[in-house]
Amino acid sequence: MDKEIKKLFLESFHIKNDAKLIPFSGYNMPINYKNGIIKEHLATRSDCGIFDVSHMLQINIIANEQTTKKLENIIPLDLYNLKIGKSAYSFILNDNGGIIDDLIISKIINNKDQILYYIVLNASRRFVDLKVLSETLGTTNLINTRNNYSLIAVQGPRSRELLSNIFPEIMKLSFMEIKNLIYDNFEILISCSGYTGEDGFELSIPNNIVTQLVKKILSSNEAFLCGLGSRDTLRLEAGLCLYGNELNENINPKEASLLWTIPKLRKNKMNFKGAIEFINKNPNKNQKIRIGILSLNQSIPRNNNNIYNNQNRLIGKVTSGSYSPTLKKPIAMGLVEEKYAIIGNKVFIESRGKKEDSIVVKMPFVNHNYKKY
Amino acid sequence: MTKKYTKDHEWIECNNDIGTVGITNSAQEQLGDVVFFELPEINKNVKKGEQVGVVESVKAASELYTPVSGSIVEINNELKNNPSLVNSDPENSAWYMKIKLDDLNELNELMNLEQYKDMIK
Repeated sequence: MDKEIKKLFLESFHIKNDAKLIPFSGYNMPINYKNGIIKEHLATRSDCGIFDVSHMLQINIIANEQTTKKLENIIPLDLYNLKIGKSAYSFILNDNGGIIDDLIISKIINNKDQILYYIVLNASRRFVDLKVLSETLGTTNLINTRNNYSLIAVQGPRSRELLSNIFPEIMKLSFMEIKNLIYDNFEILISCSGYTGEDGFELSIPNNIVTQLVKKILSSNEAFLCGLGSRDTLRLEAGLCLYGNELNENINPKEASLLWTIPKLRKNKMNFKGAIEFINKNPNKNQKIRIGILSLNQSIPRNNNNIYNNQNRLIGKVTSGSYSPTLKKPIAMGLVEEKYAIIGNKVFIESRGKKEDSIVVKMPFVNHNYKKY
Repeated sequence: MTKKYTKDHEWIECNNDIGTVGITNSAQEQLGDVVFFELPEINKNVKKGEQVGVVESVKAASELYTPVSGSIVEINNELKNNPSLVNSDPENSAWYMKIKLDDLNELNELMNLEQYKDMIK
């Protein structure tokens, strides 16, 4: 595996803008800029945040009957009926139903009239993903990695208005829709998605023009550069999973509380990898499930803290925890035994030897603000 | 009295045998947005280097260690309501405790500003 820390194409731009860089998933990534995580977080909730998430793996795969069938074996979606211009959240599954990676897959048509799958996956899973995908497709030739493209997320209630000044075509783009647009003679993919819970967009931009385009978006003075720190607190408030925290190869979609992402047709036919391990299967008594937790104290639950029931028995672990800048309280997600996954249930999170009163709550912690037209 | 610094990124400034203690500017920069202080117990006798509290930022929790031995005589309750004070004024109004020193000689074992700056370089 390649251990060298890679640079984002925009690294010098980030440094000029006072980014604090840390190594993350093999890339030197902005964790925050000079205003800090909380201000960036709140700016995204109130106005517009701009995130460079170019570390993520972006690939294209020709969409035809063969590739669709093969991909459906590991991705539990109805890809055949996914319309051009639509996106969906899903995962790559292993034989046990464990999650190899989570992803967003879109069906697009390029300017050569080719129909393609455009898939965005986690940077930390790059090598595994490419290996599994090429094994599934029987060749590496069908996978085209978009190496010369940056991925820029523009998120927040003002993002639509701001971006449509440059791209009027996106004004009526609904959540989980995607468009291929021409800008300055370059093709840009704009999807209405993101990982903050806000209305927003992700732009796959050729590196030749990404600097000028990001500067143009920022020039409105209503958009703010944001780093991975606030992206993490935003996704946690939105109740969204992070690979490596909530998701891994030993967790299936049922345990991750993500069964809703699998269409009925696929659940009924159970014709994908690992389906038999978690669809219509009676859970064993130790089966764990993902929940949201609100801490009733001030100390902040952190990844891997133990969770206890009121009899002082270990029932699970925190998978993500942080301070919620919107709610001004500590919040967390965790995996606990299924019988404790009841809204309103009292649980205890161990933090520095103390067992802090906490409560199982409904997610998202902060309502989603997705737009449908 | 001049400020002294510890390798745990804390500062102490003494007035006779009462030391005012806080975390350094470099420490708050590393932590980022601070959202919670678990402050020391008042009247507690502590030994140099003992953990007396915790500071939590969005990113991480970090322990507070007393730079000297003594008895804790005052804590800064302002930090309970306004923990981010430590981000804006770490080496002044955002002190977290005052401690009555057992042994003023312990101060000699700490770093001066120049030595501390060398350490964090």
